[in-house]
Amino acid sequence: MLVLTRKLKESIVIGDDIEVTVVDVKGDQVKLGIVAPSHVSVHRREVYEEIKRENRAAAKPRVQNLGHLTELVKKGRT
Amino acid sequence: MLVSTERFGELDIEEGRILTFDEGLPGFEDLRRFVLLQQDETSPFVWLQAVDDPRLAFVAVVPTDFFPGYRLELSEEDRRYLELRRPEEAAVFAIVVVPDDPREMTANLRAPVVINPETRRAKQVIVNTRGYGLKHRLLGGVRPKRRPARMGRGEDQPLLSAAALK
Repeated sequence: MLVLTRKLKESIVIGDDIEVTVVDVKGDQVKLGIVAPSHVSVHRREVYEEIKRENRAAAKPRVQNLGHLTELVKKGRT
Repeated sequence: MLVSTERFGELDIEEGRILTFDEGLPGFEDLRRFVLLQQDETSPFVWLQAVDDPRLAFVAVVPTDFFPGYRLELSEEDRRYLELRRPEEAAVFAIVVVPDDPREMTANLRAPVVINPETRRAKQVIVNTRGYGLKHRLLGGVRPKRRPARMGRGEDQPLLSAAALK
C-alpha cells in the first residue's frame, strides 16, 4: 500500500483522471471528495465487500432447475 | 454464437443478446459477458449465465414481481455510464441467493443488475435507497419499507421483463 500524508484540502491523483481530496477532518473521521470518470465505481470498502460476498453466495444456487422455485412461489401466492 | 453452459449444455445465442459488463460483477470482475436465459415464461425466475464460465449462472428476478414498490434510484454517474436517458428505460434484475432450504431464498435489492436494453450495456450498481438491503426474502418476508422520495417521469411504466430482452 502506498501511504501519503495529506492535510485538509490537499489532494492525491490516481492515474490520469481520478482525484481524491481531503474535504474535512473531524476527530477520527475524514471526509473525502472524489472526482473520477463515470465508468469508475467508487464505494466505501465494506459495501463493495458485502456485495462481493453476496454474489459469491448467489453463484452457488442450490437448485438445478428453476421449476422447484417457481412452484414455491406459485404455492405461496394461492 | 455458441455458449457453453454446465446446466443447459451448449446454447446457440444471438450476439445481440449478450450483455456486456465492462467491470464484470463484484466478486467476478473478469467475467464481462452474460446472457439472460428464461426457460419458463410463466416463471418469475431467470438465469443470468456467464458466457465465459459455463459453471457460473445466477438466479435473478425482476424486483417488482416480488416487491411492487421497488424503484431504481440510479446515480447520475451510473445513468451516464449505462447511456440511459432516463432510469425508467433500464431493465432491472435482482440477483437471488438460493440456500439449502429454497424457501429462504433472498434477493439483493441493494445491488441490482441494471441493463440498457438497446445497447446491452450492463452494470451491477449499488443503490443507496434506505430499506433496500442485500437480503430480502422472496417468500413471506418483510417488504422493504420505504419508497424512494424522488419520483421521476414515467413512474407508472413497468420495468422491462426478461422477455423484452430475448
